[in-house]
Amino acid sequence: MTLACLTLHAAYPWLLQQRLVAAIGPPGEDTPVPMTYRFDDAGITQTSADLEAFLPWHLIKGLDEDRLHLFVLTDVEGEPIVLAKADLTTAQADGVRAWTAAGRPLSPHPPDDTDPFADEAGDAVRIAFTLTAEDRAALVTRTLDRPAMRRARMRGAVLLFVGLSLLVPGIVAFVWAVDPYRVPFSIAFPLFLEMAGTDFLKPAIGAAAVVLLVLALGPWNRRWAARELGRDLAREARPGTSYAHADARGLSVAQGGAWARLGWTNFRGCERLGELIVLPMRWGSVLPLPTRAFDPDALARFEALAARHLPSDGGPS
Amino acid sequence: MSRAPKRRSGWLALACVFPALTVAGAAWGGETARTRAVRLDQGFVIDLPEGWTLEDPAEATGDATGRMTVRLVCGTLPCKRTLEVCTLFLRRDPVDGDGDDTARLDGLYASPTSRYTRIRSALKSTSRDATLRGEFGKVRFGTRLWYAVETQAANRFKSGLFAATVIDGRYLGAICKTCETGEIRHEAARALLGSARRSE
Repeated sequence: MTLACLTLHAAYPWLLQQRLVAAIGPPGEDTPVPMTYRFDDAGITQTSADLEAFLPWHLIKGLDEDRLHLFVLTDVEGEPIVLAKADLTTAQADGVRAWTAAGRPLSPHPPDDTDPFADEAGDAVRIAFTLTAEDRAALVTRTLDRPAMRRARMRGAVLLFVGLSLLVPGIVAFVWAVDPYRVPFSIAFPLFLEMAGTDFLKPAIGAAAVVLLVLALGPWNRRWAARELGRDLAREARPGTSYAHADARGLSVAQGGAWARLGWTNFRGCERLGELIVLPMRWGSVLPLPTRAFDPDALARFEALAARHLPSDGGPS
Repeated sequence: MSRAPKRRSGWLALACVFPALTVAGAAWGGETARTRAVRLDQGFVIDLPEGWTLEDPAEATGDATGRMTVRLVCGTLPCKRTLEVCTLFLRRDPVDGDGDDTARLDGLYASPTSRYTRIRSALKSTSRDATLRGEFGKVRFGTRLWYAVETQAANRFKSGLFAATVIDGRYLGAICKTCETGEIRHEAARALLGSARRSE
């Protein structure tokens, strides 16, 4: 049992990584994106070739770090800014630390809940929306139903079955190995083989029943988890209206003073998920846009833009 | 599987060379030795070879656990060295199962776990670092089939003969111990077990 716990402990980072990869996408799919970060009195601005994003200080929660990384913690759901220390000079790292310590008082209050792109000229498709708990539950379900997640679940079920099936033989083998009155291997082994068809079969059948039960309850369990998580996410989300503008250059989104301009190359596709349009992004996140926020004309124009600039199959998942 | 014919021929050969041994050989020979029938609980009867005694007969009346033990001790001259002793185990309840005694005996050790447990118990009951002398399986003592296994003890411990049979649906188990280290062991014990029968 101790050995099993130690093995699990040692394998946990790898298991967690596998789970994350299954949830947000395969590793190595995206080439590194050079990103510039500017810290100033207003907040942090990230810039790359086809992306510009701004976070005001009131959305920066602080700084955390480990041996290799600096984590600028933000109020943007689950997405800290991760900076590899190897890419920073000592002065830059100290600058990040100093700014994150001093920046928050610079803009302690959220700005008015207005559309920062409202004054921009052009014929962009403009929508304003708030994601509901149901929208968020649908997004959680989408993540849980990714093929990689399904494969991970099946792999988990098989591992659970194998693990539970081998539990009793493993204990028997261990007890045999440390037994001071050990039955000679030449006699014990044929008996153990025979037990595989009798005594060990019952735990295996029990394991199969447990696994089948888990699999059978899976859809119900996932629906429940998605509903609960959607509700929690909606409760914890920053209040306020989100804004999205789409034009030939890409999508601009804003909420609570934070904004991002995202070229179409940042998206891997466009999916319909019930009442949501879901735009998977290169780094695994998704941008959800509720169709209820569009008037019919705006929806048609948005779909035309998406069809022109994005692959229609939703990109790799 | 029967060892009795080999044993008898061995004794005959020895008797030809050493006539003085014939008496002792006959005493251990079972069918031809002077024996004393002893009645146990549940109608079991065994023939005690000459020189063997029932230790503390009061204990043979059993206890409330559903199993009774009967200890038989060898007091012959050779046993001064080999310190042979047999313990018989009886159970209050009949052996489960349908069919004859052989089928019920097979049923006792039908599962690999029961055979494993029996072998391990034999090793544990013998000594640390005990080994097996031969396989655990069916052998014939007298006219009856027994499941038996022999162990070889570490130095200064007694080796054992562990056996069980079913007679008229009733379980009879035996653990016989000896200090004998030669190839031929448990001769009297086999004769004793081979004489087991029931008489209601």
